[in-house]
Amino acid sequence: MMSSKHEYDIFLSYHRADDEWTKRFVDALSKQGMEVWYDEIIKAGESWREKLEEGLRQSRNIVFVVTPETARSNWMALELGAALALKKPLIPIVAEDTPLRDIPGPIRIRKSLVKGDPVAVAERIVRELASEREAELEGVAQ
Amino acid sequence: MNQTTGQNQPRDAKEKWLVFISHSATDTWLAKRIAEQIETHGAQTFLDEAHLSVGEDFEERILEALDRANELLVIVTPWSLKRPFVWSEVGAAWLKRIPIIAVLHGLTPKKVQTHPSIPVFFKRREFIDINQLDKYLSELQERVRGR
Repeated sequence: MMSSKHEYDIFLSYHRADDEWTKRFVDALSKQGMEVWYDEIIKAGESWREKLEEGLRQSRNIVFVVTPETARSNWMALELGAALALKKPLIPIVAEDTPLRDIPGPIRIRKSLVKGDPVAVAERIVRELASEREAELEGVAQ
Repeated sequence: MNQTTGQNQPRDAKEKWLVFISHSATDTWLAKRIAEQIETHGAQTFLDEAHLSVGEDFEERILEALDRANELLVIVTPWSLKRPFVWSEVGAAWLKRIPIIAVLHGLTPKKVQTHPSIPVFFKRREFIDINQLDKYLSELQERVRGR
């Protein structure tokens, strides 16, 4: 779909307790040319609700980082519901110490990546998105 | 119970006005009483039964019900703050552009807007105190009739 609006490759949903890992992850994605929307982009004074909606609608993929804290985060639950309503591709990254019961159902039924070294996970995501793109283009060419 | 009938039918003018009621398991009794009141005022309700977490059926059952819903009523209580599932329903309704009404019980609008675990999300006009529910119900009745 062509649009004059800015588009992001990835909308990132994460928990604040995970700031450090997230920064390294976003850095690695940016270095590989990915445009990432995450809440650090919201400037003070801007409407959070409008900005979040814009971020969700204008991103091609949703990356959802699950840690033991996720199950208690109303913010992440809200973002997950919103992402599912938009029916965008959802890529979960799950920390190994997350108890199964704390992983939201829609995440559990998807193939997920293990939350390890942020640079390695970023590279993996870039590869996956690139191969999906190729498959899409082949589909168009046929 | 208060589950809707005709689950897979698309929304159309002949169908009754549908209010999706989002609540935590702790507030089930209250949600059922509110559903009864809503039905008395001419609308249909979808009441999600006692889920503790976002279920695997979210994308089929919940999103499908939201597709048919005319509005979402979320019961916000001190207990629902510990039930992320409620917030996934709110998030989905929001991006589907379904009007949201937050019924507050045991919380003031100010408390909701400043509480660290509540998404800074609702606008003031979307709040209604539980003791003002009659006003909501009479407005709902007008919406149902005037469609």
